[in-house]
Amino acid sequence: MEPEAEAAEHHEVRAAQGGDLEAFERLYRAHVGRVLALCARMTGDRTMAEDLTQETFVKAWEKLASFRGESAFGSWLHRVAANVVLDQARSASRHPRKAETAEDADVFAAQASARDVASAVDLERALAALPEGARAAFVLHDVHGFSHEEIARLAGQAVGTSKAQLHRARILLREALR
Amino acid sequence: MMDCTRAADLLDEYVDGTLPESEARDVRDHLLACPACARSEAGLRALLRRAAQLPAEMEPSRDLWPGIQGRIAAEPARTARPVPSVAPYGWIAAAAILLVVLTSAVTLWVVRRQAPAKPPQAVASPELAALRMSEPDYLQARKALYAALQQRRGSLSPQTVKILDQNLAAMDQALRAMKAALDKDPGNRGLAVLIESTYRQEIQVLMQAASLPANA
Repeated sequence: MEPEAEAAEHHEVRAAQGGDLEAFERLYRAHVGRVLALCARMTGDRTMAEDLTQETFVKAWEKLASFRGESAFGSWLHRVAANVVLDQARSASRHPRKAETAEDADVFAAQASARDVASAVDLERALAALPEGARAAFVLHDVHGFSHEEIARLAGQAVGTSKAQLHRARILLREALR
Repeated sequence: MMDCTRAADLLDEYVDGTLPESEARDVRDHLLACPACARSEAGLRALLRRAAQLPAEMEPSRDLWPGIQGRIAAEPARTARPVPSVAPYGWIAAAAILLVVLTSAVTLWVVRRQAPAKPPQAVASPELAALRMSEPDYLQARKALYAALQQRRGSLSPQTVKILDQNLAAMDQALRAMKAALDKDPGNRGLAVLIESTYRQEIQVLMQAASLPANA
């Protein structure tokens, strides 16, 4: 992010921390696309992802006072989103698998360049079909850049478990895309 | 010399660049000597390139903000915090300005309606569709905030309560007029936008009222 944009966002965050809901709405507008992408890929379910995106921003509003600016606001928000999705997964016995997963994958890829669309659709579909833990590890580590340590902390698991889940995801995806 | 099983175990960390150099060198040597493992490495790197090319953002199928705003508004006690950017009674000024804007908007609409105009469009606009989707969230938030305000009424000054009531009544009247007009002219995009904007502003005023200190 450019320094000017970063300063503007810092100003919005400070305003939102002071209770300015309109500033928080502007932060929502700036970040909703990325948060939704993370939730959608982690769940493999577009409808659930939109609900979890809303939950993420409600949680973010509640926790905003705890944001100290030690990381970028977007990074902090992504951790909140990952936590929301993992909490939901912990509380549910399983994610309902939806028949329209393939259709969702088309929507997921809609914003990619034409050249990448076919590849993205294939990968989104393969991702949606992964087991939950493997999918979360791949999405967080390989798509959104979380470290194994962060994933382990968020998921309440050992670093080795995160690495094992990622290894499994990578093998399954390569098989699926072969 | 490292074997294929060990190389496969370390391949993830090798490709991620997190393997200590001594082990990374052994993996590199093995990959140079083993075509099968080299293919596996190439496949993994190709997968990671594809992952990096996935779109970073997705477009929601609907505006998710009204639902978020509604939930925040419905739990003011948990989420309300001081509003230092608004001076005491500043919100009253804001509400008064809003009242003028609303009155002008409704007047403008009535004047335009009385003038000869093109026939109303029969087809509902995307703005109306968006309003229909977000309206339940606004109504839920309004209901919760009105209930919260009712409980706080006794702790606010009579002047504040009077101005607040006048403004909320004006907003309500404006909303009713605009909604009645929209029912007759569902293709009127401006009205749909204006109604949604009025809902937002009403929620904002209610939230600020809910966070006022006692005797304000």
